[in-house]
Amino acid sequence: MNNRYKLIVTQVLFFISILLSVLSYVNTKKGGTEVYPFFYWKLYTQPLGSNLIHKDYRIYGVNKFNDTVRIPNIGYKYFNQDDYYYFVTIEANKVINHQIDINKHKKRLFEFGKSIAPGFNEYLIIQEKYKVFEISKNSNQFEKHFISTSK
Amino acid sequence: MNFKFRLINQLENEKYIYDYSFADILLRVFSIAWIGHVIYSYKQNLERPLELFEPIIWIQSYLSPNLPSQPLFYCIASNAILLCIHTIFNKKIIFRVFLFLLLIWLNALKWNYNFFSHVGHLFLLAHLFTLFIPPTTIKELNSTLKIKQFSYSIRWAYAGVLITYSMAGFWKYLALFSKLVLYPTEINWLSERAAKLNAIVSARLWDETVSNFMLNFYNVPWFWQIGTLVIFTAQLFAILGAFNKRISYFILIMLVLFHFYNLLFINTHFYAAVVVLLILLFPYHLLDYKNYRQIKL
Repeated sequence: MNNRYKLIVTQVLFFISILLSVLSYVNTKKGGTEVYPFFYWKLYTQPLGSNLIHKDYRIYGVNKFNDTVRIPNIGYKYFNQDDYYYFVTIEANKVINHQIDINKHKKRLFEFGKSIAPGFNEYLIIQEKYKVFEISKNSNQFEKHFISTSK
Repeated sequence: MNFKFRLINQLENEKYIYDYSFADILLRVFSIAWIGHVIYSYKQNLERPLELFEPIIWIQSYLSPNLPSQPLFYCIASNAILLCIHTIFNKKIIFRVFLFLLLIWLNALKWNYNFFSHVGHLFLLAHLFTLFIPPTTIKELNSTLKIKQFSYSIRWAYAGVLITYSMAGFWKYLALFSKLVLYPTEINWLSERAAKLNAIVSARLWDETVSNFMLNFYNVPWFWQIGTLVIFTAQLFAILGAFNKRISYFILIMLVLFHFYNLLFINTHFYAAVVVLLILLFPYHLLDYKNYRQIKL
């Protein structure tokens, strides 16, 4: 292949990548996944917290005395803070939208909880709803809503 | 030799070619470090409960429906490292294609735990788009046309990488205009509290808090709105950096600043993207100007 053809191939590749990015967008909108590794890069189009209230998800452990302990997202040996955030948020949304078999979810939740904070009999996913400007003054100022349990 | 370099519009072409000769090698050196990180992630994944591994996108379902065995993984990772070294010296397309396919597999392996991140995409695209850049050096090019073709191969390859930022800028501007026009009372990226809200929520996702210094800094009037617009604009026009050297310096600085801000203040870590941008767009000819002039003359 001479240099002229190599240039043409690179140009064609450029336009194909745009087409595949559009396809990724359409496919994702239809509930599918992206055409890896061509993404459409629609990220942070609105600031987080733009409606002044935000919902987060956290794991809570229930010990043998029936006390419920919050397991914060502070980074663990096998799951860093990004891993925790995305795993729990997406798992919670699967439960909320009935996209996962509940027995399978219970097992996954228990295994995840045990992996980051062993020693509890039961793990919960709790939705934490807070007003953004209040949480910046007091990190305990949030409402709790039960999402799921590992039992 | 003198004749070809005296021709008009040659200077820009030469700079792209000269700079790419460094970028090509550094991309492969960085790829070895990137594979090292994938090996670290794989070791971490071995310790995770098996039930949590679940393919998300189509390629994962076909290529690694389960966490691959250690012999298979280390065979692929070591071959990828060997190809990184080999393609520094042997620029045949076939080896580069193999390397790209192995990197695609390695990157997809890391993201099977409810989330498929895009942090490695720019790195993969840099490998993909540079596959067909001719394996020549500036010294071997003996005609204006060849220099032009070579330089344009580099430019279009860079365009393929940088258009990802232009797409991000496009969506941000589109969302901004639609908010301003359709929902003018709602908070958008130009609202005075936007950067502060975004920072507070980003910190909270990781159970962290924003320092008082930063909370006060977010109150500085107009600074964050103007900064946001500058970054959005740099993203939207990032692709122009592929075609003009001076614009590329501005784009590089703005995008690196953007990634550093995200990294330090809103817990969004696109490390590989920063390194890839620096590798591709860094003006090496300015650092090594003496040698660059010698090649020219």
